[in-house]
Amino acid sequence: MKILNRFKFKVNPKILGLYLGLILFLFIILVPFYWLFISAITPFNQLFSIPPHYFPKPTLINFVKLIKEIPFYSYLRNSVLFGIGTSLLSVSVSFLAAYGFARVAIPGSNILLLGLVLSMALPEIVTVVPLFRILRNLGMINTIQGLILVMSSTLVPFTVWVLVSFIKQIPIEIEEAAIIDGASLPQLLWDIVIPMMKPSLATTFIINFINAWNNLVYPLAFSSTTKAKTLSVSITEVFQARSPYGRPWDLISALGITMVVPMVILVFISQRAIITGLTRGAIK
Amino acid sequence: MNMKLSKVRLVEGNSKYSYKLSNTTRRYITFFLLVAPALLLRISTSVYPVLQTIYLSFFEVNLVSQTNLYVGLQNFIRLARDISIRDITSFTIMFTLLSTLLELIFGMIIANFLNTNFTGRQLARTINLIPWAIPTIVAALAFRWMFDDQYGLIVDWIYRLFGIRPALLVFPLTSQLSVILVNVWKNTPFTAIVLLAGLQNVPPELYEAARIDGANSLQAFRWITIPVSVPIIITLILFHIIWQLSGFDLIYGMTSGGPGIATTLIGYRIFQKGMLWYDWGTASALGVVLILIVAIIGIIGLYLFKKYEVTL
Repeated sequence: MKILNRFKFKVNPKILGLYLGLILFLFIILVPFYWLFISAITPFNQLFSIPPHYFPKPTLINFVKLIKEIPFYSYLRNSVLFGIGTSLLSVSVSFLAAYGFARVAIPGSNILLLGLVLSMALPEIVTVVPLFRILRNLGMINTIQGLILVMSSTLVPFTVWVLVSFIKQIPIEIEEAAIIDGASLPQLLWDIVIPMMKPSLATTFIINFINAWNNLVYPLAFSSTTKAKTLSVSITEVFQARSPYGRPWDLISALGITMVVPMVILVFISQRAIITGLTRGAIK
Repeated sequence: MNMKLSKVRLVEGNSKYSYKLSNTTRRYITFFLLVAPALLLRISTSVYPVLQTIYLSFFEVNLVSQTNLYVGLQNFIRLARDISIRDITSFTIMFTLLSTLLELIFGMIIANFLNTNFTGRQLARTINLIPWAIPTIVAALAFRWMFDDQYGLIVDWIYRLFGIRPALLVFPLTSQLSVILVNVWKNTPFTAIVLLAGLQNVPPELYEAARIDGANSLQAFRWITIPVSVPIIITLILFHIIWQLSGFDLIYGMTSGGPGIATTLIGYRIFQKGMLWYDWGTASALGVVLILIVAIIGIIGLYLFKKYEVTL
């Protein structure tokens, strides 16, 4: 009996429930990625089978085929340029504005800030037709610059909102001392404020890059040539291409994985910064 | 964000009373120099296009038939008579409300879950960010493939469990529910992150005190967690409703609005009318309708902000 007792160990039902919950949570989040991933590494002739191959013999043939069939590198370059350009423009413009709102109060500036933040609510889909006309008149249809301009504008309200609360966290005494020492505004911003704000600026930069990388509406509406199409547009085009077997799910999955992997890496590198940035607006 | 702006007089130095006109002017100039680029960008690519949309909604602009006529309220009358618009509007409302509700419920559960102590919590929090960080269009296509009525993963599981192979995206009701669930899958992590940040602001002593007073965890949730989270919940509801009303990517990728128009959202219809059928007049009229709905919800939201003392 004594020996048997040794094997009786208590399972804490709370801990058990917690880990069952964790498994369910991870399962629900990760299943689509598992499916996308195995579809990307399954050769075309095995992809359309009943039941599906849950553990296929991995192959990179789909990726090779993808690069052959679409101008993949152009689209990748466009997506990267679109993301970096949008982050640069939106963060720098928003930083200046946020500094103005946070530190140079004038009568009515808080109303202006409220208006700016609430303009986040304007549905971007509504502005697509007029923006198309504006960009066409400026000769900016089918250009990355045009996309960067409209996407930055979309991100400005959120970025200003977040940066204002970051700036307010910095003790003002350092800036005051610099002003007394005779620093001009550009000197103040460049030498004092920006070095202190590096982590916050990096945070908004990453979030805005992710937003631009993921954006579909603008490139879909304003880019119709290889010159300015992004990966998000190209995956919809690969999807449109029907073959006698149906949709080319091998290529769609391969392209989907290439679009997802950089974002997953970004999340793993900078999850703390992303969470701070995303919640900064809503939480004080 | 605290709207009460700091009263520090940056440009003219420290003294509150050294108030010269030139300093005030300099202060105004400084402010507008700083804010001008952002405002110019917003006005030219957001305010102006919205005004354009309102203007265009009174015209019949069709690139295909090369027309450009003032038609008054004709576009709106046409929309009101269009039965498909009624179906689209009611699905948009159902999609928005049901999604927002489910996101809040699941978001709250996940936030509480990610707030408890367990090994691997940090990893779970990181993985939770992934659905938020990936392109909606990729998620939409991945789920379309998962729901495939012949080779899809979900259908295979349903077959193994129940012996049937349902064509989920072929029937209106099941495709509507599928679209809503995928939308919830995509957006709940964001909801959970924001709610979690709110929970982390609650001092643990509060829960400790409640436990000593004999409150169970459900009571603690009801009387501590919920009241603390109310401002965040209101902000989340407002922005979730507004963003989801104009949803586009998910529908474009997952169902293309079908079967028929069963999963067409207003935002998707505006895109179809404007960018695929070049019927800019009606597209703009529908855009105006969407802006009005958003404005009404925004006003209700601002009222609630005031009532519950939410500072943006």
